[in-house]
Amino acid sequence: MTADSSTTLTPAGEAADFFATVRDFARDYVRPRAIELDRALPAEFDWELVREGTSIGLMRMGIPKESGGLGLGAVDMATVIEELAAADPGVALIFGGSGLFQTPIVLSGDARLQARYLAPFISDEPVLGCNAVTEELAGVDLIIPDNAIHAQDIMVARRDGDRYLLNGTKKFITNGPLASYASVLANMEGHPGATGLTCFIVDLDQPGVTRGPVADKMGYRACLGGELAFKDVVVPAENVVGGELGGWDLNVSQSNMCRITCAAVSTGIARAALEKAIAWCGERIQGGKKLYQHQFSAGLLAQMTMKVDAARLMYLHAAKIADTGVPCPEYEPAVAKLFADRAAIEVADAATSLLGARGYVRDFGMEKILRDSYGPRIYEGTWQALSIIITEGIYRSEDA
Amino acid sequence: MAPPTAHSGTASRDVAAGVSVIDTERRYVEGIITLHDRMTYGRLPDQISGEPLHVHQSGDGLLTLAVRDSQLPHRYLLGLLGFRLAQYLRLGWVSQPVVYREALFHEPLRPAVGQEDIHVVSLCLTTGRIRGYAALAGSRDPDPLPLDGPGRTRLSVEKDHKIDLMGRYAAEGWTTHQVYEAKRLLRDQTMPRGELGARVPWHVLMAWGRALMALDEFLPRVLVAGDAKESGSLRHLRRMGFRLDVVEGTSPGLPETDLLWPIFKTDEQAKPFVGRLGPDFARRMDTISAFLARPLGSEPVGTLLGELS
Repeated sequence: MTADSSTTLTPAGEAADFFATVRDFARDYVRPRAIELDRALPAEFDWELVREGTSIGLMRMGIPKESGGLGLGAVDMATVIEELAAADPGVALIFGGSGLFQTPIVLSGDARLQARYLAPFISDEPVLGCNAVTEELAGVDLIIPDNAIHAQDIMVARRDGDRYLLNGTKKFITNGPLASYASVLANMEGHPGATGLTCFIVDLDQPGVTRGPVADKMGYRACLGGELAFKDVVVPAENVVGGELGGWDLNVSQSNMCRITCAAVSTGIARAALEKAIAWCGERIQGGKKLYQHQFSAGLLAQMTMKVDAARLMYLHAAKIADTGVPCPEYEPAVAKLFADRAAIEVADAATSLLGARGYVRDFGMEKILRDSYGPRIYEGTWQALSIIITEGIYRSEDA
Repeated sequence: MAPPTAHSGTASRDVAAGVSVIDTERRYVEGIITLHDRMTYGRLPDQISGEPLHVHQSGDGLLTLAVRDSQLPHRYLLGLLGFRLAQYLRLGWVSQPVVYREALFHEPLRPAVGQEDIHVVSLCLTTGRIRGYAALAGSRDPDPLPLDGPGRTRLSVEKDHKIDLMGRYAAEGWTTHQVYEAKRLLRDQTMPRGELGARVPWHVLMAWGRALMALDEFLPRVLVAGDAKESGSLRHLRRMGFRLDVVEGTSPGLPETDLLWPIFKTDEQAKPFVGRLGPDFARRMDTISAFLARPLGSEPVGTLLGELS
């Protein structure tokens, strides 16, 4: 079966052992808990799952080897994320969100920031990080550089001697309710809109940081998201990543890289839906034959398989380019994510229809996958934002 | 917690940036100490490769292991070296400016040549925190060399005290690969000074001694070198049954560019020593083992000291 990731996802070398461990973890530990995780209250957040994932290396995938991490590249990282997302995309986001906190620090090349803020993730003690960008009035305005001037009421950073004071509120922050650390984008005082974006590494367990209510999300419920409010939060000057006003470049680079793993999440969701459909259509008999032997069902299954395979190949293509060149491209990850996000929704929808009543009943997990499938088209670029990035890429090539 | 200071430089200020170097250095060091206070290693026993040189679990909730470098996953090795650094920072025995300048979060890794280092770690089974630690550093000579060989790699103690400590032990059949340097007998400085706290060094010393016995059998014969204070580890080593040769009258010191230079700024100077396992070493190890097997609260550590004296 081509939709089985094993045909295309075969990391080599050291990554192969890690990938095999993750596959076991996803299949034997995460998947059996997925429905329970989906229904759990925020107070029941599964720290034990995080501890298990931490112990096998999921919290240190992108950390360089010399710092105690696994030093995975984009291809290996994305294949691991697909594996987790196929079991539960919320779990993929717990680890992926922490990786998003780490990315600016890794990109910065700042040895002291790396020592202080990457080392906690090599411990057995589970620690979460988060990347705080989105705000009440600004989502895409913090992703599309041309929108920066129009951004409203952005979190403000004010220099005060050898420190900065942060004031403002971040919304819908993955891992925000529980994270120990955040990479925070704030706008330097005096710069209009979001033209003064600067990235700060912030210890969240300090005075002035308030965690708002946990967002009651439609999907990805294993992973908590919420509001982070900052009131005169002190950040030492050495915790600026990429210098003052360096936030835009950093965020663009990070988003380009991140879209590859986001596409892998979408692919994982689509694959989970396809696997359920394949299993059901292989056992359910109607009109004297199995469902897959009925033409319309077969057509749906073929279309679903095609979409999963194509989504995977597209994110692998983008990841290979990212692994072999600097900087990470803008176009390929955006194309991969745009396709995979749509594929997740379409494949989940088709699978739900094939499963009939079982697709509509919560105990079978299909409706969870359907809900989860709508998440990826929001974060790290809506389809509208991705479309702008892609078309700008096309016309940039045409003009050149 | 503000760590003790071990500054070598004078306060400087980057006027243009308005950032005090001393303040950033202090924040960095405090951050490293805090970082290691939070780190846990509960899965370490399950993730070592092969058989440890020694392992024992005691009724007081500690698991103590002696393992070689290569038996540890890299992240745990960094963690152990980080524990060492954090404890030395707390004790004021390492240079904060060097830690800051080199962006250290762990002691530097030693080159992977020659004999491997051995790490003794005492872990709290409940929290996974390191409670005690000691190391036996192996020779860096890729091949074994005579102890008076001109090309042999000098031990740290020889460099620090500016002496040739091992040359006098040159004899047929003795090589640099049979010499281990005792390093970093440490207790978690955040641990309360209770009975368990008093037991931790003995758990570590016992595992350290058992590891030496295992090496002694394997090599065969080992020498232990190092430096220690008369009022501290030298007493413990004698109680353990080491036959010690102690060198008097050295003037140890390191340049202020060295990570460890502050360790010699002290009222009582450590003395170089070479130790061999004495004839009753094994019996004394058994005595320590028997004491540590007794439940916490049954007898104070003073009882053990009496039994070993």
